Amino acid sequence: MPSALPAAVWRASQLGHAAVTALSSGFPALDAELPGAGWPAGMLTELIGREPGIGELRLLVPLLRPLTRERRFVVLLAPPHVPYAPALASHGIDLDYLLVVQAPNAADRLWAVEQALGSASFGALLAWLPQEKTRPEHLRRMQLAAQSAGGPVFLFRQLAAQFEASPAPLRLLLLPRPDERLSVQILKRRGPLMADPLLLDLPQPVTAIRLRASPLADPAQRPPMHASRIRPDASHAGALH
Amino acid sequence: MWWLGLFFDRLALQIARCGALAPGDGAPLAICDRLCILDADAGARALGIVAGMKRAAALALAPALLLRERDAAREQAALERLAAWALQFTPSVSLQADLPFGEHDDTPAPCGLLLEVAASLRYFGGPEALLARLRQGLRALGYTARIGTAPTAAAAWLFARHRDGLSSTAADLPATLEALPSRLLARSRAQRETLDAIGAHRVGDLLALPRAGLARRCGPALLDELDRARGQQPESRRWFEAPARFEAEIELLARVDHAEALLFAARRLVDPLAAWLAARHGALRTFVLHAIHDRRDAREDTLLTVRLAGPSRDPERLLTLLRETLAVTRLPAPVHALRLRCEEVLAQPAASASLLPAPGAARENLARLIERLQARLGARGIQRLSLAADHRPEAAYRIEAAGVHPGARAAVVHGACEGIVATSGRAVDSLARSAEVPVAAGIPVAGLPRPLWLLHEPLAIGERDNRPCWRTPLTLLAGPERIEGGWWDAALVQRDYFVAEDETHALYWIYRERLAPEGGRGGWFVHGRFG
Repeated sequence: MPSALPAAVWRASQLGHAAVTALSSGFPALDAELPGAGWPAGMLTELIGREPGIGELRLLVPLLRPLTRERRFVVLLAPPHVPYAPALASHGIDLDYLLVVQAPNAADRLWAVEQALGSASFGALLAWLPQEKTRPEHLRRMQLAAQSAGGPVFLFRQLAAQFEASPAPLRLLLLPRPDERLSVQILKRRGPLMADPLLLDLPQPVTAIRLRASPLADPAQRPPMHASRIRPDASHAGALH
Repeated sequence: MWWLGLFFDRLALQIARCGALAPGDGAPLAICDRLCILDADAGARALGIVAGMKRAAALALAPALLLRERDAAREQAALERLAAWALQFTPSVSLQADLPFGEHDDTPAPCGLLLEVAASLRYFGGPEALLARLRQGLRALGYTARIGTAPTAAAAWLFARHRDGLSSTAADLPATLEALPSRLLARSRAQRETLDAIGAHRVGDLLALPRAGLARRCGPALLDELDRARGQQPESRRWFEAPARFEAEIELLARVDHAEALLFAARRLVDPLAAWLAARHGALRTFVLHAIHDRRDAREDTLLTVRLAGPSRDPERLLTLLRETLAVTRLPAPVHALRLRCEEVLAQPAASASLLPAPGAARENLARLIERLQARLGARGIQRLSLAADHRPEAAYRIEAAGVHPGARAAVVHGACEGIVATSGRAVDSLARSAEVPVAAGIPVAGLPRPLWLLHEPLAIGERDNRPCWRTPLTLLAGPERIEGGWWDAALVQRDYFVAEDETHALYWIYRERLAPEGGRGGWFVHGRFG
C-alpha cells in the first residue's frame, strides 16, 4: 500500500475540508502512518501508556526541540512527576519556552488549556489528566478548544482508556520495548486500520552512552541478568486484548 | 478652525447609571437635590416622575425609584475624565462651564467640552467619520452628548445647547446664529426674564437692537459672548491637560455580594483609565481596584490588585486580567462602590505598527498568557524550569513561579547538567568539576543520560536475590555513576546511580546509598523515570 494512501482516502470522503496541517514527528516510519505525515495541529492526540516513564516524552522530543527553538512555547499541564530540567536541556529543548501549569481542579485545567490554545505563539500542549476524573465532556471540550490551536495537543492517558470512546481523532498506544525502543500502535486515525505496531528508536542525548546490560554494570551483581529479559511480552498481553 | 461643542445634558444621570451592574439595567433612576427631582431617566418618566417634582411625591409614585443626589464635584471629575478621553481626537480640548439644567440653582457647573479638531479631520477621515467615532466612543463609556459644530467655539457651544447635530460653515454662520433662541445667551434667570420682557426671542432680534442699550440692560458679557460666537472678537481658552494621577469612583446602583458581578461596572473605570494613560503616553504594570463596603459593615476596603507581566494600557488586557482576579476573589461583605486609583505610570510611547511580525511578538504573547493564567491560578500555578549549578540531581534544577519574561534570565547557564562520572569508583573532585565554566543550555554532557521525569521524593525499593526490585526485578543497564556533594549544606548526597530496566522494559534511574545517612535508610531508591 503506498504510504500516501491513508490520507488520500480520507480526504476524498471529507469534501470541503482543508488538509490537516501537521508537524513532523521526527520518525519517518511514524510520519508515514500519520494522517498529514506528522502530529496533527489543531487536534487532540491521545497517547495511551501504562504509566509515565515508558518513553512517552522522548517520543515527543524531536517535535519539542524545534518548536522551542522557534520560540513557540510548550505547555506541560499537570505533569505527574517533576520534568527534569537537565535532561530536557540535554535533549536540546529550550527551557525558556516551557511552561508548567499546575491546576488543582478540572474546571481550572480546562480553562488553562483553552487560554493556552488560543495564544498566537502556542507550540504544543502536553496534558496529563487524572484517569478517574476525566469525563467524556472534558475531552470533547478539549478537542473543541484544540481546533483553534496552531499546534498539536497531546493527552496522556492510562491503559484503561484505550477501551473507552474518545473524541480524539488520533489515538496511539505506547509500549516500551527493549534497547530503548518504543512500540507505537495507532488505535484510531483518519485512515485505515493499522495492523502492526511500529517500533521506534527513541532519541538519545547526543553524547550519552548507549545503554545495554553489561556484566560491568555492577560488580556486586552476580546472577546473570539476561535471564529476566527473555520474556518481554508476557506482561502486555493482558493490556492489549 | 473647526470646533465641536459637546454638551452633556444628562451628565448627572449618566454618571449614576455608570454604577449599573449589567448592560440594559433599566431600574428607574432620578437625580435630585435636597428637595426636588432634577432629572429623571426614561424608566422613571414612564412612572410619571418629572423634573421639579418633590422628592417625597416621586417616592410615593414609585417606591422602587433609585434617587441619587447631584454632586458637582463628581460631575467635574467625570467631565475631566471625558476630557482626558477626548484628547485622543485632538490636543485642543477645553472644559466649558455653563448653567446647570436645574431651574433652582444659578451657580454655573461644568457640563461640556469644546474640541478644536481642524487639524485632526484628515487623520480621522473627515468630519462625519470623526463625529461617528466620537459618538460611538462616548456611548461605550456610557455617556451621550449633544454635539454642535461651528467655526467658532462660542457658536459651537450655543449650537450644542440648542440642538444635537446643528452645524454651520463660516458662510452660513450668521444666519444660523440669528435663528437661535436668545435665551441660550442668558447667564441667569433674571437675564432670561429681561430678554423675554423686551421681546427679543431670537438672537437676530438682539442684533437688531442698539448695542449700548443692550449692554446697559443685560451686561457686557452677553454682547461679548455674541461677538465671540460671530467671530468678531478673539477668544482665548484654557486647554485641558490630563491630570498627573488618575482617580475615579463609581457608586453602584445595587449592593453586590459576588465579586464577578463587579466586572461590568469596573469596565466603566478601566476604559477611562486606559484613555487617561493614552493621553499621558503612559502604561501601568499594576493597578488596584478598591471595593468599598457599606459603612454599616465597618470594614476596610477589599483591594483587588491586578499585576501585568509588562506595562500596558490596553483596556481589553486590563479587563481580562481583572476578570480572572475577580473570579477568584471572595467578598467579605457587600460592596456599594468601586474606586480605581493609579499614581505610578511608566512612560510608554505609542508603538509603531509593523508590516512584518516583530521578533518580540512571541515573547509578548507568552508574557500575556502567563499573566492571564497567573491571575486565576495564582503565582505558583505557572512554573518555569531552569537549571542550577549543582551535582545533586534534586538540586540541579529549579522550579520557579513564572514571573519573568522569557529570556530575562542570564543567557549563560553554568554546567548544571554536567554530572560526575566515576564509572570505576574513581573519586572525582566535585569542586573542580563545578568550576564556573559557562556551558550554554542544551550542550550535550558526558555521562549517563538523565531521566526526563524526576520523582518528587526518591522512592525506597526492595532487594531480592541481590537485585533491586520494584514490582518486578530490575536489570541494571549502565552505571554506576557516583554523585557526591552537598557537604556544604545539610543535604549531603553520596550515591551510585544506575540505569535499570524492569521486565516491561520501562527504564528507571535508581541509586544506592553509598553510606546510609544518620537516621535514614540505606539500600536502593528509584529517583527518576525515563519518560
